Amino acid sequence: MNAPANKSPATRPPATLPPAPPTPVWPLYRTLVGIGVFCGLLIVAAYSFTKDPIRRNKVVARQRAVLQVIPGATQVGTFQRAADGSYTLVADDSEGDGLVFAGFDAQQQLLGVAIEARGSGYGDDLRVLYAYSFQQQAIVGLKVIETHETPGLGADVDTDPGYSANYRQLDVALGADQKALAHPVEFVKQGQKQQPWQIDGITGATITTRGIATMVSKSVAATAPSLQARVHDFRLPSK
Amino acid sequence: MATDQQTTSDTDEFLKGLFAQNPVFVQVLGTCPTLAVTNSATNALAMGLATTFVLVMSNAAVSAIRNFVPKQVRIVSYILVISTFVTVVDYLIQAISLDLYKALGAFIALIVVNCIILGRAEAFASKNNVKRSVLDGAGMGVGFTIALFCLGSVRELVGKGSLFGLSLFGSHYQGWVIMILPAGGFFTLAAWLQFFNWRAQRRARAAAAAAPEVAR
Repeated sequence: MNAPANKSPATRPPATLPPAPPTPVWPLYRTLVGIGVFCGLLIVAAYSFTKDPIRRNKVVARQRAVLQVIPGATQVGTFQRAADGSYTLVADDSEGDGLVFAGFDAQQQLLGVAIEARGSGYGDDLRVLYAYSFQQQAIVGLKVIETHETPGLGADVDTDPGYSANYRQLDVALGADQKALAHPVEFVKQGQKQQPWQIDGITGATITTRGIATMVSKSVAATAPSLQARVHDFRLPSK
Repeated sequence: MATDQQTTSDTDEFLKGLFAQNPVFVQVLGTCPTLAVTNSATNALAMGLATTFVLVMSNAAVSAIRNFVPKQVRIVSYILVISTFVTVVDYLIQAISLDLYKALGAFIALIVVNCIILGRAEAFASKNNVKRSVLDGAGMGVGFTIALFCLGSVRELVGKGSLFGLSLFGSHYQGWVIMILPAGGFFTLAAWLQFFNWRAQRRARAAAAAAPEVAR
């Protein structure tokens, strides 16, 4: 805008560089939209290219974990719990709530089921997979599948032989009414385990080990009665 | 608009990122992933290679579009390009190994905000042709990978007594757990920085001592 004509030289602002020409808006739109479209196409192409390998990797990792946690298992069947409480065989790459993974031996005899449980640890949420044996009415294995615990302390729960021994024969037998556990799973401090339904902690990783015990206790109390009632649902199609 | 500069050979363009201008040991950039993911040699190498891929691809793309991007929107354009290649590398790592993906965790996504990448895009790729920008990105990426491996191998060796998961000192070795923890990253980075500074000072002294003889 021009200065008023009657302004005296003393009040006139000092001389400045001429203003830069205004930037046209169209090149800005064109650049951003063009780059956005190119980037979008590249991301979708990468997603399409890697979608199947990623799904395969997830299934393989899950099955490997199930085979590790159920002693003696050589085959895995994925089962989904229906609204009426029954379990039906579903595809191995199924996802969602209510999934349990049954382990079978070479003769397709049911050895147990692996169930995922999650809860809070010391650093962040923890995810574990534990094996429930129908025959022994016990937890017969446990594997930590996601942890953010401190290395050397809480992160060692998966490799600590003393702690792993807790889950080799953890008593979760049902009571006389078959609707609840006879003895809820209990957490005790290291060296104080007296009963087969108790879990010994690790000194220095108390919060982590208590967290795992709590999540397993809640999960098994909620699922064991229904699993035991529907044991005949778990079978693989005959070859 | 930026102009192309041709002052060094192609080989020097690549080699400068390895030691003379190493992004970690000389420029002290990208210290967040440097400290966070170097608790094992495998993680360090994987993060270094992922960052190298993003550096090379984003440098190439930024250089290719440098004459079409108005300066008012250049940063948002570069970030868009960088985040696209980070997303691609995220998918690729999941497709290659889920265990590796879990080990690297959130730090794959955080490559987007690694200052080395945006720094090279703004300082180099936006002013040079595609070939030289790719060489610059590759050199900086390999330099970053070397730095991460230097940290990761030392931390894994001292902290666990192993390298790439293979035990080297036997089962009786009691690892220094602190080297695996975040504090160990600071200790190891400080030791490597001290080594590189000592090396640079020794070279400078040698050059200063040789200078009078040359003048004579």
